[in-house]
Amino acid sequence: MSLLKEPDFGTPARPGAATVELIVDGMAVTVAPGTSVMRAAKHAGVDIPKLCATDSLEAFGSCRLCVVEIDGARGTPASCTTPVAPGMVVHTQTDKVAKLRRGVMELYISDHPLDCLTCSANGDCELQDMAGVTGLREVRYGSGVDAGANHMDLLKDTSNPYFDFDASKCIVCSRCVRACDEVQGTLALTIDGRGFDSKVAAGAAVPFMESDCVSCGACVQACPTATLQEKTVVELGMPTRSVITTCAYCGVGCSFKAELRGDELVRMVPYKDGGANEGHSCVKGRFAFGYASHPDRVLEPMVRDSIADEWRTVSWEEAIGFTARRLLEIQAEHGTGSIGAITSSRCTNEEVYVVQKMVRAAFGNNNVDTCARVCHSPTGYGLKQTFGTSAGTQDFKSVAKADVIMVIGANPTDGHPVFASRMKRRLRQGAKLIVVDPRRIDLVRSPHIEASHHLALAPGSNVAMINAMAHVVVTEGLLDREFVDARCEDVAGWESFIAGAEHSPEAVESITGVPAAEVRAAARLFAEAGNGAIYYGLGVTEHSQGSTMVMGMANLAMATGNIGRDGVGINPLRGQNNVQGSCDMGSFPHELPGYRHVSDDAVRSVYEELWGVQMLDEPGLRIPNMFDSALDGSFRALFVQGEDIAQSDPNTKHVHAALAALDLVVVQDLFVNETAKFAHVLLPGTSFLEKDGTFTNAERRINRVRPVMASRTGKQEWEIIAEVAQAMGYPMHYDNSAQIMDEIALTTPTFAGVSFEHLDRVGSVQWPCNAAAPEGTPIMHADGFVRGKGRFIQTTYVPTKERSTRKYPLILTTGRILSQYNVGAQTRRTANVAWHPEDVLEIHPHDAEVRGINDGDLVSLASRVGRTTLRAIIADRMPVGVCYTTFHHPVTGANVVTTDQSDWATNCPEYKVTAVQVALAAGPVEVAHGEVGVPVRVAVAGG
Amino acid sequence: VAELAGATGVAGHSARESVLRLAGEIAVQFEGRPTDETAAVMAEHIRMFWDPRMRTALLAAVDAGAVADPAVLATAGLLRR
Repeated sequence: MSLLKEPDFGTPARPGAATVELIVDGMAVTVAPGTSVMRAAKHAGVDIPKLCATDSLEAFGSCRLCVVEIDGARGTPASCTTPVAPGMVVHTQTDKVAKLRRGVMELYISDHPLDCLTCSANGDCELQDMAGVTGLREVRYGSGVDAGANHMDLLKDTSNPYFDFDASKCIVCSRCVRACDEVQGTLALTIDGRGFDSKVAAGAAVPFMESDCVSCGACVQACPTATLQEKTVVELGMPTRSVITTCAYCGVGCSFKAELRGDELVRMVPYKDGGANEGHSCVKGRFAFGYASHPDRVLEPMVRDSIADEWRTVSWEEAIGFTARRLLEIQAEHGTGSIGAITSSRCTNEEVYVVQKMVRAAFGNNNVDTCARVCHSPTGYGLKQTFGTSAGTQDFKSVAKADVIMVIGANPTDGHPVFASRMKRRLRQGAKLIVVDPRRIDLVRSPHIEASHHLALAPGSNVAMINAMAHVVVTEGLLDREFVDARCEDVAGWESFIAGAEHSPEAVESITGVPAAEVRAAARLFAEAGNGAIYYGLGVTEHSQGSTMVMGMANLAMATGNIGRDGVGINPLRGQNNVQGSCDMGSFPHELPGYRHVSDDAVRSVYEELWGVQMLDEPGLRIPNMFDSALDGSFRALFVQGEDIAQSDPNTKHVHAALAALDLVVVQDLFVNETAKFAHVLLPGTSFLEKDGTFTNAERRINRVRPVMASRTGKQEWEIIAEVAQAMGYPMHYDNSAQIMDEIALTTPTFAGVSFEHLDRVGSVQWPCNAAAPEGTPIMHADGFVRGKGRFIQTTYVPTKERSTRKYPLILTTGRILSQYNVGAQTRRTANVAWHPEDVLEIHPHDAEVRGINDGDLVSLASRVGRTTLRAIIADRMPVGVCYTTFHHPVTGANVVTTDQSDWATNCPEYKVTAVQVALAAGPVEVAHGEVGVPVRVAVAGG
Repeated sequence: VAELAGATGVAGHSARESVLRLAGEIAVQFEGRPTDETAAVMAEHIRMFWDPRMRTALLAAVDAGAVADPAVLATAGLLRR
């Protein structure tokens, strides 16, 4: 594919039917009301010259290059700011406008370096293009440094690791400022000064890295010149071809054009037609792809007999043979159920599907689980119980129709930044915001946004809070009676339960710590919203009552009639790129693809017939059960696909002990990660740039992941899995990953209409995609719930057993930060470490003061199960008694302190509530040895 | 800088300890409801989500007298049917 340049219509599309007809340069065109003349002209096939206009931004009307003449109108209006009118007759090419445009261009060029041949934007510069389009042949004022006063001696800001800001090339079109405002919503850039002194400035005219800039790159993308330019383009030159693919970071699942020179990736440019992101991106997706070519990549298989041995690099044949032989030997000695696998939410649907197939068909058991176990398994349980299927109800676009947005236990500006930008756009338009979170996350108060209510509840009190809100709805007559009577069941019992005085905001105030009046006001706001939408994250699920809370939110949404249309719904913000997909693909030990229980004879028979095996009708082991069974000796071998459980799972000591107890650990990954330290086989994996398949994002959108370059290991990951299965005696073969998707479609009703060919044709689809919905289903439960009627479930609040005590008086919650991603295996191998080189502990000023802790001090963080040392940051966004850290760096190992407490229904760990003590670290940090015969992984004394 | 727990750590908790904890945590969600109702829900949940060896471990713990919770005991009775 050659370099893809999407058409730029100059101004955004307007909603509504095309009803306004006008004539542009003699051609009739019909567009929606409110469309600009510039955009209408583009629809008619006429490109009007422009510099300050681009269709991702509202019209600005500053460059005056797009002037036109309109019959009956005075002067030469800017076509970008002039809306169409019925019968309008527009002339875009007249002597008058041509002269005006050349005059404008003369002024621009008189203050612009004429180094086009050596400029990094040569060939991709709109100023250069417009000079040609307008027929500029001379500059009467002189040009370059000879043109008198100019800006050509302004210094270049190279502080950002990914892009440069060369002010000498700036034409002050404000596209970057407007992109930061309108697209990203950070408002980090401004135009400083007036008149000739006007210039783009980051923050208060500081270097980009010192400003509020979040490095999303929207400004770089919007810049029409080389002023804001990717360093990779400066270093490597302009790309020559594009491949459209999908980001492998968070669950937003942004579409990108991977732009290359030959086989070298130059830059990632968000794709305007991407359904999830519509041309926007974050710092990770756009810039942090360098890990794929990092020297730490393992490119050849390695094996060893014992984890005390050195790795031996071996052939694929030997590695696969070794793996299969050991798996069979272990099964022969310890039974069919003694081995299992964990699938990865970073891998494609096709790769995940073949792993669960390997487990069920070649291993002969259901011991397959996925990393969603430790993040969104309560979503699966809760939404299936209440609505009938495990998925968010909306598409991302839906938020643009929300009147009240309630964000619970999520931090979208860090965790799901591109969706956060959509949300902030709606909030700037006037939608109300309720934030339910112990921390004062950035969304609570940011430029032009302020939450109507920040319910800063105590960690662990989610269910008490959601019950209190529902109590207000029921007892104050705010229930949507028509909706619940028509669409739901078990209503009366739930109403009676929730109306109980013990659920009132007043009764639970001592539990949540939130004033009852504030809860009542928030509940009223949500119930009377019109369109009320709930967005939530791991602050909901990673609790001992994670599943209960998901059901509580579903209750509230049903009670207020906020299900089944645009602008409403229950929306889990999935952590990793393919959490949704890995769950869809049958990764859970109790479910086959499409969330169908293994005990369902009819479903099982579909696979038994196709795969030619008898399958077990009983659930297998979940990840925590695998660890427990490893320590008991009944579980002996584990295949780990693309996850780092030794770092990411709670109670590190327990996990390490379990891994060390296994006879065989097989890791399929890009790097020798923490888990690989316990492994006997390392099967090198492929980065997303090498994969061929699909990811499914948090809105159930199935997107193509296309190979940007050949696999650096020589194999696709699904090929390796198939070869292991074959070596174990089970015939498994596919010619390509498209065949795997065909098998998924054949056996999974919600995917029946999905194929690579279909995706290539329509771009993406949201499941269910089948004969009834060939283009997919953006909004679920529109006419009825998947399970028939929505089911109200009584959600009794049960406090967690994890309590603060005199010895451990603080509560720790964990999470992630914008620049890093999960265990950091990818982002730590990019320049993103510039923003977050280490995990830090955020602690309230009061809690710090009583412990004698100053900002930047090294502190000891101890829980009942472990201790770590890290740097403290005094943060008044933390409530008193609560501290916070991230888990991106293995040297800190935040999960050393998290415990085995878990969700009662799914075993999802309670990462969000750990009783801890924090104290100043005493002197240099001692080296700690693991007790289970594993390599020491402790380093550096800080400070 | 991560450091693993000392002697008080919980690295060695067993599958039996885990299933007892899990069963107790499920039971407490339904506290206040009739025991037979809770047991029916628990038994269905355990059949749907627990590996058979976990069920076996729970029943063995009940047989060994390690369970006092009436709901868990009633659940065990249903699981044996």
